[in-house]
Amino acid sequence: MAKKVLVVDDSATVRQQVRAALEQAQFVVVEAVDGLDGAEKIRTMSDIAAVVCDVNMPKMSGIEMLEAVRPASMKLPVLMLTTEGQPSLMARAKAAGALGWVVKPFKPALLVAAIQKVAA
Amino acid sequence: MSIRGWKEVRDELVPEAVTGLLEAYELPVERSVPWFESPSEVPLVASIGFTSAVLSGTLSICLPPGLLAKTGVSDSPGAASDWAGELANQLLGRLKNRLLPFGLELQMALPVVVSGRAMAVHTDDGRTCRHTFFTGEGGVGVTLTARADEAFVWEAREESSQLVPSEGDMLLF
Repeated sequence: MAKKVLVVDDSATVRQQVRAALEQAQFVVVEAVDGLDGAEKIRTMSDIAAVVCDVNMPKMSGIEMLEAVRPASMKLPVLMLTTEGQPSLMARAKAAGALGWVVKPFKPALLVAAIQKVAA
Repeated sequence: MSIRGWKEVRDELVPEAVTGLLEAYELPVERSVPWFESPSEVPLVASIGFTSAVLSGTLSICLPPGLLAKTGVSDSPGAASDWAGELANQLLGRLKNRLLPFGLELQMALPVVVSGRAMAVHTDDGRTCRHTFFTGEGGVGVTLTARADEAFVWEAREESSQLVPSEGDMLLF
């Protein structure tokens, strides 16, 4: 059965780009438009196998979302996909349960390989 | 690294960041000029504010429709403005990451996107730099207006730059 990946980003274009890459690799993609929406979907959709999440978003940032839902406690792998490269933000995301960090613009093959690895 | 002023740092980092962003989308910069030239087509302009204790201001990027289409915009309503905002976000992210070795951690706002005809930049107070970068898909106008703390010492630390990942990099924790 295809694994489900939640993509959280406030840019519809980025969500579409990530969706295209993951669907080509046989993942099923669900989308959330900000951290608040992402947290709600993580809490209510028990079959999510991995999350790809932006950092800077309206309403709730990606790191605030991780701190709210604590994905590590659910064994839910999360990759951050962001323009940010600030070591203090990476450390905060890691402490909140993120398993990886990708700096935009992303290489589709690299992102897919990372999701395949963390969602295995 | 030697100690420089904000304007020297800015004039080096802005062209480097814009060129790098466009090249990441396979749009090599053919030439650039140090002024703002509005495209002949109706462009979209995306602006993002930023702030820190030392440096605050606004970055704007003026994008022709052909370039937006070339770099990945779908046909859905609102896609062009969404993508213009995202490209502004990615450009400011590049600048932000290149300022980290100086000890600056900029806070970024969310982008605002506007469109119009015959756009011009009306700021001329010495705090604005403007460039137009010409690609095969038209000219990209970039302006950066920023106020810097005059007492700040612009000295990059080599060890800090090694901790900052490059665009396209992936780190697994």
